[in-house]
Amino acid sequence: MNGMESKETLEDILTAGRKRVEVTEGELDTAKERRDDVGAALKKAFPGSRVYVNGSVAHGDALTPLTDVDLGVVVPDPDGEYGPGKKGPTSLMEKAARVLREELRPKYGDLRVEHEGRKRSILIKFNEPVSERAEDFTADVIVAIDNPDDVGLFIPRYTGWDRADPEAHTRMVKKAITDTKVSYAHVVRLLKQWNRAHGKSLCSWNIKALALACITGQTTQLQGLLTWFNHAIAELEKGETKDPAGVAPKPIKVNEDMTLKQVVQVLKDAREVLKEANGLGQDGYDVLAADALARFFNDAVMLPRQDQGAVRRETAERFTKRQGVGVPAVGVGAGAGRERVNAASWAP
Amino acid sequence: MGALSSRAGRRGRRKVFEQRRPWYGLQPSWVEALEADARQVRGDKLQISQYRGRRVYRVPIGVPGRLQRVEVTINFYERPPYDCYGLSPQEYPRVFSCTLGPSPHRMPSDGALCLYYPRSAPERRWRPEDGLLALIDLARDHVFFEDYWRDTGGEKDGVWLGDEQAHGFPEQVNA
Repeated sequence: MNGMESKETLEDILTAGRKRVEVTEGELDTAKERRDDVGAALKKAFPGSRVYVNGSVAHGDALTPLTDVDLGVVVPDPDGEYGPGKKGPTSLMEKAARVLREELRPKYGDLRVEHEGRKRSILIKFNEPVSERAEDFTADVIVAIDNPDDVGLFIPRYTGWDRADPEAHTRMVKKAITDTKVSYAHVVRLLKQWNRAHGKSLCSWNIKALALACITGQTTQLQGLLTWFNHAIAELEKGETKDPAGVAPKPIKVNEDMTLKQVVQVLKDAREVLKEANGLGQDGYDVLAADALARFFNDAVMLPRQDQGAVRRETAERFTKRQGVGVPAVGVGAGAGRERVNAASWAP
Repeated sequence: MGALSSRAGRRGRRKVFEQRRPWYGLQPSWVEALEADARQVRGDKLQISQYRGRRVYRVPIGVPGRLQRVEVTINFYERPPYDCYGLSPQEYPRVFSCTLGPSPHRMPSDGALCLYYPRSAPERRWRPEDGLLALIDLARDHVFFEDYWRDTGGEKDGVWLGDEQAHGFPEQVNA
Protein backbone atom coordinates (compact mmCIF):
# COMPACT_ATOMS: atom_id res chain seq x y z
CA MET A 1 0.00 0.00 0.00
CA ASN A 2 2.66 2.46 0.90
CA GLY A 3 5.90 1.25 -0.57
CA MET A 4 7.65 0.98 2.80
CA GLU A 5 9.57 -2.21 3.33
CA SER A 6 9.84 -1.87 7.09
CA LYS A 7 6.74 -2.65 9.14
CA GLU A 8 7.77 -0.48 12.03
CA THR A 9 4.62 0.38 13.96
CA LEU A 10 3.88 3.73 15.55
CA GLU A 11 4.47 2.07 18.91
CA ASP A 12 7.93 0.99 17.75
CA ILE A 13 8.64 4.55 16.58
CA LEU A 14 7.47 6.00 19.89
CA THR A 15 9.62 3.57 21.84
CA ALA A 16 12.70 4.39 19.77
CA GLY A 17 12.05 8.12 20.08
CA ARG A 18 11.50 7.87 23.81
CA LYS A 19 14.77 6.04 24.28
CA ARG A 20 16.56 8.81 22.39
CA VAL A 21 15.34 11.46 24.82
CA GLU A 22 15.42 9.61 28.11
CA VAL A 23 18.08 10.41 30.65
CA THR A 24 21.28 8.38 30.26
CA GLU A 25 22.65 6.06 32.93
CA GLY A 26 25.70 8.30 33.26
CA GLU A 27 23.63 11.42 33.82
CA LEU A 28 21.44 9.62 36.31
CA ASP A 29 24.34 8.18 38.28
CA THR A 30 26.04 11.56 38.56
CA ALA A 31 22.80 13.30 39.47
CA LYS A 32 21.97 10.78 42.16
CA GLU A 33 25.46 11.04 43.62
CA ARG A 34 25.06 14.81 43.89
CA ARG A 35 21.56 14.45 45.30
CA ASP A 36 22.85 12.04 47.94
CA ASP A 37 25.63 14.45 48.87
CA VAL A 38 23.12 17.28 49.23
CA GLY A 39 20.86 15.06 51.31
CA ALA A 40 23.72 14.07 53.61
CA ALA A 41 24.65 17.73 54.13
CA LEU A 42 21.03 18.57 54.97
CA LYS A 43 20.86 15.78 57.54
CA LYS A 44 24.03 17.14 59.05
CA ALA A 45 22.52 20.62 59.20
CA PHE A 46 19.34 19.34 60.83
CA PRO A 47 19.93 16.25 63.00
CA GLY A 48 16.82 14.11 63.22
CA SER A 49 15.46 15.44 59.95
CA ARG A 50 14.24 13.29 57.04
CA VAL A 51 15.14 13.88 53.43
CA TYR A 52 12.68 13.24 50.62
CA VAL A 53 13.16 13.21 46.87
CA ASN A 54 10.82 14.28 44.11
CA GLY A 55 10.91 15.70 40.60
CA SER A 56 11.81 13.86 37.43
CA VAL A 57 14.73 11.82 38.76
CA ALA A 58 12.68 10.51 41.69
CA HIS A 59 9.64 9.92 39.47
CA GLY A 60 11.56 8.02 36.79
CA ASP A 61 10.67 10.33 33.90
CA ALA A 62 13.77 12.47 33.46
CA LEU A 63 14.85 13.58 30.00
CA THR A 64 18.28 14.14 28.57
CA PRO A 65 20.04 16.50 28.94
CA LEU A 66 19.41 16.29 32.67
CA THR A 67 19.69 19.74 34.19
CA ASP A 68 18.37 19.46 37.72
CA VAL A 69 17.36 17.34 40.66
CA ASP A 70 14.79 18.00 43.38
CA LEU A 71 14.82 17.10 47.03
CA GLY A 72 13.74 18.43 50.37
CA VAL A 73 14.46 18.17 54.04
CA VAL A 74 11.76 18.01 56.71
CA VAL A 75 13.21 19.76 59.74
CA PRO A 76 12.08 18.61 63.20
CA ASP A 77 10.21 21.29 65.06
CA PRO A 78 9.49 19.71 68.46
CA ASP A 79 8.65 23.00 70.15
CA GLY A 80 6.37 24.19 67.36
CA GLU A 81 8.41 27.33 66.71
CA TYR A 82 7.80 27.39 62.97
CA GLY A 83 4.72 27.51 60.81
CA PRO A 84 1.98 29.87 59.69
CA GLY A 85 1.56 32.67 62.25
CA LYS A 86 4.87 31.75 63.89
CA LYS A 87 8.46 31.88 62.67
CA GLY A 88 8.99 31.91 58.92
CA PRO A 89 11.44 29.67 57.02
CA THR A 90 14.20 32.26 56.52
CA SER A 91 16.49 31.24 59.39
CA LEU A 92 16.16 27.55 58.47
CA MET A 93 16.99 28.31 54.83
CA GLU A 94 19.99 30.42 55.87
CA LYS A 95 21.29 27.59 58.02
CA ALA A 96 20.72 25.02 55.30
CA ALA A 97 22.49 27.21 52.73
CA ARG A 98 25.48 27.76 55.01
CA VAL A 99 25.93 24.07 55.79
CA LEU A 100 25.43 23.11 52.13
CA ARG A 101 28.29 25.47 51.16
CA GLU A 102 30.55 24.13 53.89
CA GLU A 103 29.86 20.48 53.19
CA LEU A 104 29.77 20.52 49.40
CA ARG A 105 32.60 22.90 48.50
CA PRO A 106 35.41 20.50 49.42
CA LYS A 107 34.07 18.07 46.80
CA TYR A 108 32.42 20.37 44.28
CA GLY A 109 34.60 23.46 44.53
CA ASP A 110 33.07 26.39 42.72
CA LEU A 111 29.39 25.75 43.43
CA ARG A 112 26.92 28.49 44.33
CA VAL A 113 24.12 28.24 46.87
CA GLU A 114 21.35 30.83 46.49
CA HIS A 115 18.36 31.38 48.73
CA GLU A 116 17.76 35.10 49.18
CA GLY A 117 14.64 36.38 47.47
CA ARG A 118 13.68 32.95 46.21
CA LYS A 119 10.05 31.87 46.51
CA ARG A 120 10.44 28.32 47.72
CA SER A 121 13.75 26.58 47.28
CA ILE A 122 17.45 26.90 47.85
CA LEU A 123 19.17 26.67 44.48
CA ILE A 124 22.51 24.91 44.24
CA LYS A 125 24.42 25.64 41.04
CA PHE A 126 27.12 23.03 40.67
CA ASN A 127 28.87 24.91 37.86
CA GLU A 128 29.48 21.54 36.30
CA PRO A 129 26.86 19.93 34.03
CA VAL A 130 26.13 16.21 34.12
CA SER A 131 25.58 16.25 30.35
CA GLU A 132 27.69 17.74 27.57
CA ARG A 133 24.52 19.28 26.14
CA ALA A 134 23.57 21.17 29.30
CA GLU A 135 25.05 24.42 30.59
CA ASP A 136 24.95 23.49 34.25
CA PHE A 137 23.35 21.20 36.77
CA THR A 138 21.32 22.49 39.69
CA ALA A 139 19.59 21.12 42.75
CA ASP A 140 16.36 22.60 44.07
CA VAL A 141 16.21 22.11 47.83
CA ILE A 142 13.07 22.65 49.88
CA VAL A 143 13.39 23.22 53.62
CA ALA A 144 10.07 22.06 55.05
CA ILE A 145 8.43 21.29 58.36
CA ASP A 146 5.71 18.81 59.15
CA ASN A 147 2.17 20.11 59.43
CA PRO A 148 1.36 19.12 63.02
CA ASP A 149 -2.41 19.39 62.51
CA ASP A 150 -2.98 17.80 59.12
CA VAL A 151 -1.42 15.73 56.36
CA GLY A 152 1.52 17.02 54.40
CA LEU A 153 4.12 19.67 55.00
CA PHE A 154 4.57 23.37 55.25
CA ILE A 155 7.00 24.53 52.57
CA PRO A 156 8.44 28.05 52.19
CA ARG A 157 6.69 30.76 50.28
CA TYR A 158 9.15 33.67 50.53
CA THR A 159 9.04 34.55 54.26
CA GLY A 160 5.88 32.55 54.96
CA TRP A 161 4.60 29.02 54.51
CA ASP A 162 2.36 27.11 52.09
CA ARG A 163 0.78 23.71 52.48
CA ALA A 164 2.02 20.97 50.14
CA ASP A 165 2.67 17.26 50.15
CA PRO A 166 5.64 16.47 47.87
CA GLU A 167 6.23 13.16 49.63
CA ALA A 168 2.69 12.06 48.76
CA HIS A 169 3.27 13.17 45.15
CA THR A 170 6.25 10.87 44.82
CA ARG A 171 4.33 8.01 46.44
CA MET A 172 1.41 8.54 44.03
CA VAL A 173 3.66 8.63 40.98
CA LYS A 174 5.53 5.50 42.03
CA LYS A 175 2.26 3.68 42.65
CA ALA A 176 0.99 4.74 39.21
CA ILE A 177 4.15 3.40 37.59
CA THR A 178 3.66 0.07 39.36
CA ASP A 179 -0.10 -0.09 38.72
CA THR A 180 0.33 0.62 35.00
CA LYS A 181 3.36 -1.63 34.55
CA VAL A 182 5.47 1.43 33.65
CA SER A 183 3.00 2.78 31.05
CA TYR A 184 2.53 5.89 33.20
CA ALA A 185 6.25 6.72 33.14
CA HIS A 186 6.51 6.08 29.39
CA VAL A 187 3.55 8.29 28.54
CA VAL A 188 4.68 11.05 30.91
CA ARG A 189 8.17 11.06 29.44
CA LEU A 190 6.75 11.40 25.93
CA LEU A 191 4.44 14.19 27.08
CA LYS A 192 7.28 16.05 28.76
CA GLN A 193 9.28 15.82 25.56
CA TRP A 194 6.30 17.12 23.56
CA ASN A 195 5.81 19.92 26.09
CA ARG A 196 9.50 20.88 25.91
CA ALA A 197 9.23 21.37 22.14
CA HIS A 198 5.97 23.33 22.34
CA GLY A 199 6.67 26.28 24.62
CA LYS A 200 6.22 24.46 27.93
CA SER A 201 2.60 25.45 28.32
CA LEU A 202 2.39 23.15 31.35
CA CYS A 203 4.90 22.40 34.08
CA SER A 204 6.02 18.78 34.43
CA TRP A 205 4.06 18.33 37.61
CA ASN A 206 0.87 19.46 35.89
CA ILE A 207 1.42 16.84 33.18
CA LYS A 208 1.95 14.17 35.81
CA ALA A 209 -0.98 15.28 37.97
CA LEU A 210 -3.31 15.04 34.97
CA ALA A 211 -1.82 11.66 34.07
CA LEU A 212 -2.47 10.32 37.56
CA ALA A 213 -6.20 10.64 36.90
CA CYS A 214 -6.26 9.06 33.43
CA ILE A 215 -3.29 6.71 32.95
CA THR A 216 -4.47 4.17 35.47
CA GLY A 217 -3.81 0.88 33.72
CA GLN A 218 -1.38 -0.67 31.28
CA THR A 219 -1.68 0.99 27.88
CA THR A 220 0.17 1.46 24.64
CA GLN A 221 2.09 4.72 24.44
CA LEU A 222 -0.05 6.04 21.58
CA GLN A 223 -3.32 5.22 23.31
CA GLY A 224 -1.92 6.65 26.54
CA LEU A 225 -1.06 9.91 24.81
CA LEU A 226 -4.52 10.16 23.26
CA THR A 227 -6.13 9.37 26.62
CA TRP A 228 -4.04 12.04 28.31
CA PHE A 229 -4.86 14.73 25.73
CA ASN A 230 -8.58 13.97 25.92
CA HIS A 231 -8.51 14.12 29.71
CA ALA A 232 -6.23 17.17 29.94
CA ILE A 233 -8.31 19.19 27.46
CA ALA A 234 -11.56 18.34 29.27
CA GLU A 235 -10.08 19.16 32.68
CA LEU A 236 -8.26 22.36 31.70
CA GLU A 237 -11.39 23.63 29.99
CA LYS A 238 -12.97 23.47 33.45
CA GLY A 239 -10.01 25.14 35.19
CA GLU A 240 -6.50 24.70 36.51
CA THR A 241 -5.48 21.32 37.90
CA LYS A 242 -6.01 20.73 41.60
CA ASP A 243 -3.29 19.13 43.73
CA PRO A 244 -3.87 15.37 43.35
CA ALA A 245 -2.78 14.92 46.97
CA GLY A 246 -5.58 17.28 48.00
CA VAL A 247 -3.27 19.34 50.19
CA ALA A 248 -2.07 22.45 48.32
CA PRO A 249 -4.79 25.09 48.57
CA LYS A 250 -4.07 26.53 45.14
CA PRO A 251 -4.25 24.72 41.80
CA ILE A 252 -1.20 24.12 39.61
CA LYS A 253 -0.43 27.18 37.50
CA VAL A 254 -0.04 26.97 33.73
CA ASN A 255 2.70 28.88 31.89
CA GLU A 256 2.45 32.44 33.19
CA ASP A 257 2.80 33.86 29.66
CA MET A 258 -0.30 32.03 28.46
CA THR A 259 -3.99 32.05 29.27
CA LEU A 260 -5.70 28.80 30.14
CA LYS A 261 -7.63 29.10 26.88
CA GLN A 262 -4.39 29.35 24.91
CA VAL A 263 -3.00 26.30 26.68
CA VAL A 264 -6.14 24.33 25.82
CA GLN A 265 -5.78 25.40 22.19
CA VAL A 266 -2.16 24.19 22.12
CA LEU A 267 -3.34 20.85 23.46
CA LYS A 268 -6.19 20.64 20.99
CA ASP A 269 -3.88 21.34 18.06
CA ALA A 270 -1.50 18.65 19.26
CA ARG A 271 -4.31 16.16 19.74
CA GLU A 272 -5.43 16.67 16.15
CA VAL A 273 -1.98 15.78 14.84
CA LEU A 274 -1.83 12.76 17.13
CA LYS A 275 -5.25 11.58 15.98
CA GLU A 276 -4.14 12.10 12.39
CA ALA A 277 -1.06 9.92 13.00
CA ASN A 278 -3.18 7.26 14.66
CA GLY A 279 -5.72 7.19 11.84
CA LEU A 280 -3.06 7.07 9.14
CA GLY A 281 -1.31 4.23 10.97
CA GLN A 282 -4.54 2.27 11.22
CA ASP A 283 -5.12 2.74 7.49
CA GLY A 284 -1.64 1.45 6.70
CA TYR A 285 -0.09 4.72 5.52
CA ASP A 286 3.13 4.18 7.41
CA VAL A 287 5.14 7.06 5.97
CA LEU A 288 2.35 9.58 6.58
CA ALA A 289 1.71 8.23 10.07
CA ALA A 290 5.39 8.43 11.02
CA ASP A 291 5.65 11.93 9.56
CA ALA A 292 2.59 13.06 11.50
CA LEU A 293 4.14 11.67 14.67
CA ALA A 294 7.36 13.56 13.93
CA ARG A 295 5.31 16.74 13.41
CA PHE A 296 3.60 16.09 16.73
CA PHE A 297 6.90 15.95 18.64
CA ASN A 298 8.60 18.68 16.58
CA ASP A 299 12.07 17.49 17.56
CA ALA A 300 14.38 16.19 14.84
CA VAL A 301 16.66 14.53 17.38
CA MET A 302 13.85 12.50 18.86
CA LEU A 303 11.91 11.76 15.68
CA PRO A 304 13.20 13.05 12.34
CA ARG A 305 10.68 13.91 9.64
CA GLN A 306 10.18 11.38 6.85
CA ASP A 307 11.50 11.88 3.33
CA GLN A 308 9.09 14.48 1.97
CA GLY A 309 9.07 13.03 -1.53
CA ALA A 310 7.81 9.77 -0.01
CA VAL A 311 5.23 11.77 1.95
CA ARG A 312 3.96 13.35 -1.28
CA ARG A 313 3.78 10.00 -3.04
CA GLU A 314 1.85 8.35 -0.22
CA THR A 315 -0.44 11.38 0.11
CA ALA A 316 -1.20 11.16 -3.61
CA GLU A 317 -1.87 7.43 -3.29
CA ARG A 318 -4.24 8.00 -0.39
CA PHE A 319 -5.98 10.88 -2.15
CA THR A 320 -6.50 8.86 -5.31
CA LYS A 321 -7.85 5.84 -3.43
CA ARG A 322 -10.27 7.93 -1.42
CA GLN A 323 -11.51 9.63 -4.57
CA GLY A 324 -12.80 6.33 -5.84
CA VAL A 325 -14.97 5.36 -2.88
CA GLY A 326 -17.92 7.66 -3.38
CA VAL A 327 -16.73 10.54 -1.24
CA PRO A 328 -18.04 13.74 -2.86
CA ALA A 329 -14.71 15.53 -2.71
CA VAL A 330 -11.63 14.69 -0.68
CA GLY A 331 -8.54 16.58 0.38
CA VAL A 332 -5.04 16.16 1.71
CA GLY A 333 -3.16 16.88 4.91
CA ALA A 334 -4.73 18.14 8.12
CA GLY A 335 -8.49 18.06 7.81
CA ALA A 336 -8.32 15.67 4.87
CA GLY A 337 -11.46 14.08 6.25
CA ARG A 338 -13.47 17.28 5.93
CA GLU A 339 -15.70 17.35 2.90
CA ARG A 340 -14.26 19.57 0.21
CA VAL A 341 -15.89 21.98 -2.20
CA ASN A 342 -15.97 19.94 -5.38
CA ALA A 343 -14.12 22.56 -7.39
CA ALA A 344 -12.02 22.30 -10.52
CA SER A 345 -8.76 24.24 -10.70
CA TRP A 346 -8.64 26.70 -13.53
CA ALA A 347 -6.74 29.62 -15.02
CA PRO A 348 -7.99 32.44 -17.23
CA MET B 1 -41.56 75.15 -5.82
CA GLY B 2 -39.01 73.61 -8.09
CA ALA B 3 -36.18 74.79 -5.82
CA LEU B 4 -37.94 73.31 -2.79
CA SER B 5 -38.37 69.96 -4.53
CA SER B 6 -34.75 69.96 -5.48
CA ARG B 7 -33.64 70.64 -1.87
CA ALA B 8 -35.99 67.92 -0.58
CA GLY B 9 -34.53 65.56 -3.15
CA ARG B 10 -30.97 66.29 -1.98
CA ARG B 11 -32.00 65.73 1.64
CA GLY B 12 -33.60 62.44 0.60
CA ARG B 13 -30.45 61.34 -1.24
CA ARG B 14 -28.29 62.25 1.76
CA LYS B 15 -30.56 60.18 3.96
CA VAL B 16 -30.21 57.22 1.60
CA PHE B 17 -26.43 57.68 1.59
CA GLU B 18 -26.24 57.80 5.39
CA GLN B 19 -28.27 54.63 5.76
CA ARG B 20 -26.26 52.62 3.23
CA ARG B 21 -25.03 49.32 4.71
CA PRO B 22 -21.30 48.96 5.15
CA TRP B 23 -19.56 46.71 2.67
CA TYR B 24 -19.78 42.99 3.43
CA GLY B 25 -16.35 42.82 5.09
CA LEU B 26 -17.62 45.19 7.78
CA GLN B 27 -20.91 43.42 8.40
CA PRO B 28 -20.61 41.39 11.63
CA SER B 29 -23.20 38.82 10.55
CA TRP B 30 -21.40 38.12 7.27
CA VAL B 31 -17.96 38.01 8.86
CA GLU B 32 -19.00 35.81 11.79
CA ALA B 33 -20.66 33.26 9.54
CA LEU B 34 -17.64 33.20 7.26
CA GLU B 35 -15.09 32.78 10.04
CA ALA B 36 -16.88 30.48 12.49
CA ASP B 37 -15.42 27.13 11.41
CA ALA B 38 -11.96 28.54 10.76
CA ARG B 39 -11.82 30.16 14.19
CA GLN B 40 -12.84 26.90 15.83
CA VAL B 41 -10.26 24.80 13.98
CA ARG B 42 -7.40 27.25 13.44
CA GLY B 43 -7.74 29.12 16.74
CA ASP B 44 -5.40 32.04 17.21
CA LYS B 45 -3.26 30.97 14.25
CA LEU B 46 -5.79 32.75 12.07
CA GLN B 47 -4.64 36.36 11.73
CA ILE B 48 -7.17 38.92 10.60
CA SER B 49 -6.43 42.40 9.28
CA GLN B 50 -9.00 44.97 8.32
CA TYR B 51 -8.04 47.72 5.90
CA ARG B 52 -10.14 50.29 4.09
CA GLY B 53 -12.21 48.22 1.67
CA ARG B 54 -10.21 45.01 2.29
CA ARG B 55 -10.33 42.22 4.85
CA VAL B 56 -7.32 39.92 4.94
CA TYR B 57 -6.83 36.50 6.53
CA ARG B 58 -3.40 34.97 7.01
CA VAL B 59 -2.97 31.43 8.25
CA PRO B 60 -0.04 29.01 8.27
CA ILE B 61 -1.03 25.60 6.95
CA GLY B 62 0.69 22.26 6.86
CA VAL B 63 1.01 20.87 3.36
CA PRO B 64 1.97 17.20 3.00
CA GLY B 65 5.50 16.97 1.64
CA ARG B 66 6.61 20.35 3.01
CA LEU B 67 8.77 20.51 6.13
CA GLN B 68 7.77 24.09 6.86
CA ARG B 69 4.29 25.47 7.13
CA VAL B 70 3.03 27.52 4.21
CA GLU B 71 1.32 30.84 4.77
CA VAL B 72 -1.94 31.34 2.92
CA THR B 73 -3.28 34.86 2.49
CA ILE B 74 -6.92 35.43 1.60
CA ASN B 75 -8.08 38.88 0.53
CA PHE B 76 -11.71 39.97 0.40
CA TYR B 77 -12.23 43.32 -1.32
CA GLU B 78 -15.08 45.75 -1.34
CA ARG B 79 -14.08 46.66 -4.89
CA PRO B 80 -11.64 44.05 -6.16
CA PRO B 81 -8.78 45.40 -8.30
CA TYR B 82 -9.13 42.29 -10.49
CA ASP B 83 -11.79 40.75 -12.71
CA CYS B 84 -14.36 38.65 -10.83
CA TYR B 85 -15.72 37.24 -14.09
CA GLY B 86 -19.30 38.01 -13.19
CA LEU B 87 -19.19 36.78 -9.60
CA SER B 88 -19.72 39.08 -6.65
CA PRO B 89 -16.55 40.21 -4.82
CA GLN B 90 -17.38 38.07 -1.80
CA GLU B 91 -17.61 34.98 -4.01
CA TYR B 92 -14.24 35.62 -5.62
CA PRO B 93 -11.55 36.48 -3.04
CA ARG B 94 -7.88 36.56 -3.95
CA VAL B 95 -5.92 33.69 -2.39
CA PHE B 96 -2.12 33.59 -2.32
CA SER B 97 0.57 31.24 -1.09
CA CYS B 98 4.23 30.88 -1.87
CA THR B 99 5.12 28.48 -4.63
CA LEU B 100 8.21 26.38 -5.18
CA GLY B 101 8.03 26.63 -8.98
CA PRO B 102 5.70 26.84 -11.95
CA SER B 103 2.03 25.92 -11.68
CA PRO B 104 -0.66 25.41 -14.29
CA HIS B 105 -3.31 26.95 -12.08
CA ARG B 106 -2.21 30.39 -10.99
CA MET B 107 -3.40 33.80 -12.13
CA PRO B 108 -0.91 35.06 -14.72
CA SER B 109 -1.32 38.64 -13.48
CA ASP B 110 -0.42 38.25 -9.81
CA GLY B 111 0.21 34.57 -9.03
CA ALA B 112 -3.02 34.09 -7.06
CA LEU B 113 -4.30 30.51 -6.79
CA CYS B 114 -6.93 29.62 -9.42
CA LEU B 115 -9.00 27.51 -7.09
CA TYR B 116 -12.18 27.26 -9.13
CA TYR B 117 -13.78 28.18 -12.41
CA PRO B 118 -15.96 31.24 -11.86
CA ARG B 119 -18.64 30.04 -14.30
CA SER B 120 -19.03 26.68 -12.59
CA ALA B 121 -22.37 25.77 -11.09
CA PRO B 122 -22.58 27.17 -7.55
CA GLU B 123 -21.96 23.76 -5.95
CA ARG B 124 -18.71 23.42 -7.89
CA ARG B 125 -17.12 26.62 -6.68
CA TRP B 126 -16.42 28.08 -3.28
CA ARG B 127 -19.12 30.34 -1.86
CA PRO B 128 -19.07 32.40 1.34
CA GLU B 129 -21.63 30.09 2.93
CA ASP B 130 -19.06 27.25 2.64
CA GLY B 131 -16.97 29.19 5.15
CA LEU B 132 -13.37 30.31 5.36
CA LEU B 133 -12.15 26.90 6.53
CA ALA B 134 -13.36 25.31 3.30
CA LEU B 135 -11.40 27.94 1.35
CA ILE B 136 -8.27 27.24 3.40
CA ASP B 137 -8.73 23.51 2.74
CA LEU B 138 -9.02 24.20 -0.99
CA ALA B 139 -5.81 26.25 -0.86
CA ARG B 140 -3.97 23.43 0.99
CA ASP B 141 -5.08 20.87 -1.59
CA HIS B 142 -4.13 23.23 -4.41
CA VAL B 143 -0.60 23.81 -3.09
CA PHE B 144 -0.15 20.05 -2.66
CA PHE B 145 -1.43 19.40 -6.17
CA GLU B 146 1.11 21.91 -7.49
CA ASP B 147 3.97 20.20 -5.65
CA TYR B 148 2.90 16.78 -6.89
CA TRP B 149 2.45 18.09 -10.43
CA ARG B 150 6.04 19.32 -10.42
CA ASP B 151 7.26 16.03 -8.85
CA THR B 152 5.63 14.06 -11.66
CA GLY B 153 7.03 16.07 -14.52
CA GLY B 154 5.46 19.53 -14.34
CA GLU B 155 4.98 21.06 -17.78
CA LYS B 156 5.98 17.69 -19.25
CA ASP B 157 3.20 15.25 -18.30
CA GLY B 158 2.89 16.36 -14.68
CA VAL B 159 -0.10 14.82 -12.92
CA TRP B 160 -2.69 17.19 -11.43
CA LEU B 161 -4.53 15.15 -8.84
CA GLY B 162 -7.62 17.32 -8.56
CA ASP B 163 -10.31 18.20 -11.04
CA GLU B 164 -9.28 20.67 -13.74
CA GLN B 165 -11.22 23.04 -15.94
CA ALA B 166 -9.84 23.97 -19.35
CA HIS B 167 -8.08 27.31 -19.20
CA GLY B 168 -9.87 30.44 -20.36
CA PHE B 169 -13.52 30.69 -21.36
CA PRO B 170 -15.25 28.79 -24.16
CA GLU B 171 -15.74 31.95 -26.21
CA GLN B 172 -12.03 32.72 -26.00
CA VAL B 173 -11.14 29.20 -27.06
CA ASN B 174 -13.66 29.29 -29.92
CA ALA B 175 -12.67 32.76 -31.10
